Amino acid sequence: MNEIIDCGTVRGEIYLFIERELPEDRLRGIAAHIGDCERCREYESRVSDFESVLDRWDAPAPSAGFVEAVIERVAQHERNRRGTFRLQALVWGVRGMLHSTLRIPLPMGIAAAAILVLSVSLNFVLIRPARPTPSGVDGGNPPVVMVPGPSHVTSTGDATAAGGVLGEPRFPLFQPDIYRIANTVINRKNPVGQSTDVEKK
Amino acid sequence: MAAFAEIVRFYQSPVLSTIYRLVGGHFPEDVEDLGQDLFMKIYRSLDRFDGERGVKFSTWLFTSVKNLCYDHLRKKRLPLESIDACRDDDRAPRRQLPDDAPEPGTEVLFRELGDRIGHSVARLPVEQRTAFVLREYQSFSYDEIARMTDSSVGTVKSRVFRAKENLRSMLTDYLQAR
Ligand SMILES: [Zn+2]
Repeated sequence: MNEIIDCGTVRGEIYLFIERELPEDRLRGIAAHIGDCERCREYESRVSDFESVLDRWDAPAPSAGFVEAVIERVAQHERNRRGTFRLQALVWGVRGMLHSTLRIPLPMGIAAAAILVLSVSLNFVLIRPARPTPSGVDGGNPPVVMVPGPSHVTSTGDATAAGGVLGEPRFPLFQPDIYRIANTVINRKNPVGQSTDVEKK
Repeated sequence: MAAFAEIVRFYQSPVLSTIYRLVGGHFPEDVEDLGQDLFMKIYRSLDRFDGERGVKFSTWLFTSVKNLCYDHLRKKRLPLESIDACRDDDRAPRRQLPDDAPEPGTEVLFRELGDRIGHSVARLPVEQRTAFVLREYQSFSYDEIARMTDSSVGTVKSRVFRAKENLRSMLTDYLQAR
């Protein structure tokens, strides 16, 4: 079917005509009009020239290290993600353990863990055995006193029986100064030979 | 990771040149950073690409390029709407000829022409610019551009047409003087 093509149609569709982005019969109709109309022929020629001019706009080439820079960022992202994933796995693991094995909700589990950690720390701080101190008071015998733990403290038992034996501290790796100071004070109050039981008079 | 490096290697040139053509006229110094951001974004969302639904990877990729460029222009508070609103400043890269340069050869003239085109494209409303760049320099079909820009095919054709007419009128004096 031949359509009537006027100059307005050619101007409106000239780019699609040059790109051949129109149906075949439309292309044929415009071509026929351009063949007959000098003004449209000139117009088509100008637009075609302009189209070829557009090819002259080059973009700069990517810099030499572009791919490597992207891959380095991806690798960094992966490292971060793995770290986050490990932490998440830990949280989920603990949560799963508390919930499915012990039937404890996570907040309660965290609270219990906090209490546990706190009580162990207090145990260390308050009743941890001291190192041997060099401040002897009698004939060069160092008045080394081991402070017993709570389970060993009795109102009547002696130090040895209560676990507060002379000798190596029970927790050699964990010895903040506060233990040493506390035990020095206790030792002053309880010279060697006497019971080191804190409660004992 | 090696497979992704191949993707980057393969697409770096079309992606960077598109970013350059969409935002480089105003922010040439940001082009490679944006390219890196784009590929990071692609890496993180690769598992969301579903080739089974008939979407080509390149269509998906260049939709992200377009979105990234629009976000950047918005972030930089550059008006996206009209030619008049666009800045006609000297940010567009221009190569200066030295004073003692010999008569410019064809190569130099082409380069100057390229700069002139780039400067004019930077003044186009961003939707015209996008449709024009994707069509003219990446040879996407009108249908693909319509998908990328969430518009109809007719709208895309109209944008490309107006972009070219605007460019032709901006470049006419320069082209006639040559
Ligand atoms: Zn005519």
